[in-house]
Amino acid sequence: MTGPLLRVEGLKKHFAFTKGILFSRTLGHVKAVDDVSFDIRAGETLGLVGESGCGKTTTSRMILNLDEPTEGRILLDGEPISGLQGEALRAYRAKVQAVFQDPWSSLNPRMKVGRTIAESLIVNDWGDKAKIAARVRELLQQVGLRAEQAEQYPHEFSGGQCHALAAALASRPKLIVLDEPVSALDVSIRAQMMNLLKDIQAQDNVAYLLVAHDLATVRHMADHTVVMYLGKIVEKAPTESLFADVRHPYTRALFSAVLVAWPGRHEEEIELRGEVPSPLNPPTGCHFHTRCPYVMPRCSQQEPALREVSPGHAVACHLFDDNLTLRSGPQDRVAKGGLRS
Amino acid sequence: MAIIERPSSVEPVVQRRWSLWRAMLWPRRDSVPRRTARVPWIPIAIISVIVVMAVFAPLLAPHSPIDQTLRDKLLPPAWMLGGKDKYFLGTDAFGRDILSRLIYGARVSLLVALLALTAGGGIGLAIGILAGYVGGAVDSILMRLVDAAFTFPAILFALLLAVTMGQGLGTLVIAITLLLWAPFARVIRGEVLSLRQRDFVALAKVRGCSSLRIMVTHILPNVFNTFMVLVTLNIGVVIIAEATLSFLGAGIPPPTPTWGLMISEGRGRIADAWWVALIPGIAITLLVLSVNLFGDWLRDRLDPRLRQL
Amino acid sequence: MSDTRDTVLEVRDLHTHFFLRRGVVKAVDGVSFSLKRGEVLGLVGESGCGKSLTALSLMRLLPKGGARTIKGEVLLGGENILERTPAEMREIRGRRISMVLQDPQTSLNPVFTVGDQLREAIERRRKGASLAEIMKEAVAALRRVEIAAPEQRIGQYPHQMSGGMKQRVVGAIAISGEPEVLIADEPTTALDVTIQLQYLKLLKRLQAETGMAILFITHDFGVVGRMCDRVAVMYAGRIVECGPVKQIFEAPSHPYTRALIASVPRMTGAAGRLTTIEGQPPSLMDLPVGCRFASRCALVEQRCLDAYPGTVRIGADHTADCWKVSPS
Repeated sequence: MTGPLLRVEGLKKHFAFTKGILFSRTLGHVKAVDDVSFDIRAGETLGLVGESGCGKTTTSRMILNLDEPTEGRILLDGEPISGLQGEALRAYRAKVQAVFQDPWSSLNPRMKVGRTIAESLIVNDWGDKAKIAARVRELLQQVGLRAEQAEQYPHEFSGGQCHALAAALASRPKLIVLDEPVSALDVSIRAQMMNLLKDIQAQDNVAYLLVAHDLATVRHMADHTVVMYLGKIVEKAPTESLFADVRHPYTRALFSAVLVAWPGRHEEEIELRGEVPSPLNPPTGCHFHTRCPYVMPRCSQQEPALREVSPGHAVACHLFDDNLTLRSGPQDRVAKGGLRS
Repeated sequence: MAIIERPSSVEPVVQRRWSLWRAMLWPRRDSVPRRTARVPWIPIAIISVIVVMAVFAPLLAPHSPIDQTLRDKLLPPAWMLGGKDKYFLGTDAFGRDILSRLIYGARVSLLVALLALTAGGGIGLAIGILAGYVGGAVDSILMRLVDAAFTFPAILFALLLAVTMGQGLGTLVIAITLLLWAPFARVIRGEVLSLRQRDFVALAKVRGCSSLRIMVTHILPNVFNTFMVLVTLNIGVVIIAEATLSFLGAGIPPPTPTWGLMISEGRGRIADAWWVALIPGIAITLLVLSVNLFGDWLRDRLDPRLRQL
Repeated sequence: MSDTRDTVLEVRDLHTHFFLRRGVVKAVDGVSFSLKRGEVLGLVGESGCGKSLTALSLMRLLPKGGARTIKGEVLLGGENILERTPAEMREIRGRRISMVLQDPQTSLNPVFTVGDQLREAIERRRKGASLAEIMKEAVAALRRVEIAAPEQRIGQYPHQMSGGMKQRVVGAIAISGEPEVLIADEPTTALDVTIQLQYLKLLKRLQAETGMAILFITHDFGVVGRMCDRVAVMYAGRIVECGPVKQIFEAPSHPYTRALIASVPRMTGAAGRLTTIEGQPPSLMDLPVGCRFASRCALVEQRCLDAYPGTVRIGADHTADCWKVSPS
């Protein structure tokens, strides 16, 4: 397996904002995702980080083929996924599954859990009833549930995402999109879930696209991390590299805000001014310039390109322009960045 | 330590006497309802009696519902002055026994209700799900149809049908079905619109389910509750509709007794022969009330979330 | 912690139970703590531990359906508010104790403007003031919570504002009565992380200005570390450890606290497997006779199962409910 399992190239999703029912006028576009590219290798985890409105959920939906991209390509094992129909689409769906944030709305409340888990097997005519039942038992065991629980309804479970995960694993997917899988869980269950996810990844060699807003979770699970803001990637790096050496001012603010659970320890606390701008009317140039503590005149005029500043580590920020030489000034603090343990 | 309230208010509420009646009459919606204590026995009994009446009418009715004995017309119920034991609930203007007409009338009323609700409810359910889930042009077109159905003068149309197709059960059921399907469609569609946003629907798609499969296995079971509520709410509507149409001559032609027809026949004589109209009226009230209470309980019972002890 | 600060709120042995047909749910089962003027006490625990219900009990806003506070005292400025009449409670709520809830979407009424909702709160305090005066105060209140262009925001509806801004409005309404105690029930859980930081800093600033005490309920240890002076850890209806934040983070005494802190993913240090806590919390209808954490505790002994440890003082201001801690 040479190439990446999943490749996203120049992905864009613009939602037209219209007015009127019969003869609708397009008033503008919400650029939810605006030129996003990354790779996921088999068996690895990519963390997609950002706050609400940054486009991470929209990106994940396009990868799940729930929305069509406006521009750009998504390739699984080198094959583009746009325009897939019928058998080909079903084959794709068997390879790419998902676990969503809210365990309570992820399952049909009127359907037994075993039936939900078996769904992708049933849809794909995978086998007869007995065979499917056996696989469901196998899956329940894999996620740490008892076989009898297949007969239970979702509300009888006391929280946790194990059943949703079992349903996602049924068709032996190569990639699972995890959209905030643990943020709705209790702290102690969160830890169990994260351990379980890592175990399963090791057992089944399944890749994860982890969409999260919690950097600590991403740190524990992701091999690579992509940080998004208002539809654009602002920083992209192997997780270790990112955590050792945070570059982009937004990422720095995010790190600062994550509230390292150690009282009395205040890393350079960056409080961002203002609100997140509306995606209908994003700021010109660099989208972050309205809130950036290191803003320069150039930032409102020109969009920064995503450039590599160290092996594998790319940043989209004018502070790192000019052939990557660092000028003196505020970015010295930025360059020295990172959280030392 | 200050004690705020005496623990005497701790024992289960049902032990209070009047709550026992309440629990029998209608099931309380606690945060955690219990099963057997809450079965609505009285409504079930009433419904059963009426169903038995309808099914075994020929065996139960003391007289023929259509035999006229003009000599015995407008006799009050047996326990009143002037009443005769032979005619337990009295007679109408043609000397027909009210009790027998009531028993046979249950047949027609229930049959019409069953058929119309099945047809109208079924059509409304299907259209509602389709419109709500598929959306877009399909939704727009279907909803315009629904709007049209609402503005339609149903009674006029029923009369038209009666004139062209002739009076009878079939015509009546078709007319009421056409009256009924639109409210179902609209309410169900609303429910489906919000269901569609739920994560499990997106996940079903992710697992490869076709739209049809999703509509049937995921959407339908989740709107069933609402559907049941609509059914129970509309039984009264159907019965009254049947009464109206029968009265106007677009329903079942006399002398076949229906409760609605009995009411309209007795309408003019409420002052002196109140039993002719009031008795079928009470029967309708009891039936509709019982069905509503039963429907509430059934809906709660069928919801797997509320089923947990 | 200066002892010269007044104790503004004291809770003694609070019991709030749900009386259901199938049994009694002992959601809050003997909770005691005190809150001094100007301090922030964190109340931490997982879902179902009883922290939100404790807050509602303090405000006497228990949900309908069998919940009752059957024992205990809540002393606000020395008087037990559990004995107050409903009319008196209405005076106390909003004026002496106030509350901020988690979801900004549902905390504000969508069909009234922000100004109207503020006016409602201010009117109670400034009876007889003219509309103009009240609206001026409303604008000032918005400015105080650092909302830009408050004169325009006054006329806006909640849906025209972002989550962070709505939460600030909720905060403005809550402090408009100048309460002595503010109860914040997970106010930042629904907010983005950078907005969360803004909000917490705002709360701290307001607290420094007004000197109010804050009871901060959360499940997030990071927030506790940033905001709180002291923290109480709740488990199965009781507080199992309570003390200064620094002490508890650096040397947690109760096994549950230790396990909880160990299971939180960190931004620094090893990024391997996380420690987890096996098992489930006990059912609140069927609580064990001994320590409630015993079934999941790594250090469990026979005496833990036989009897509840009771509150052990292990430091000047630090208590834990455990047999295995050494009293000071």
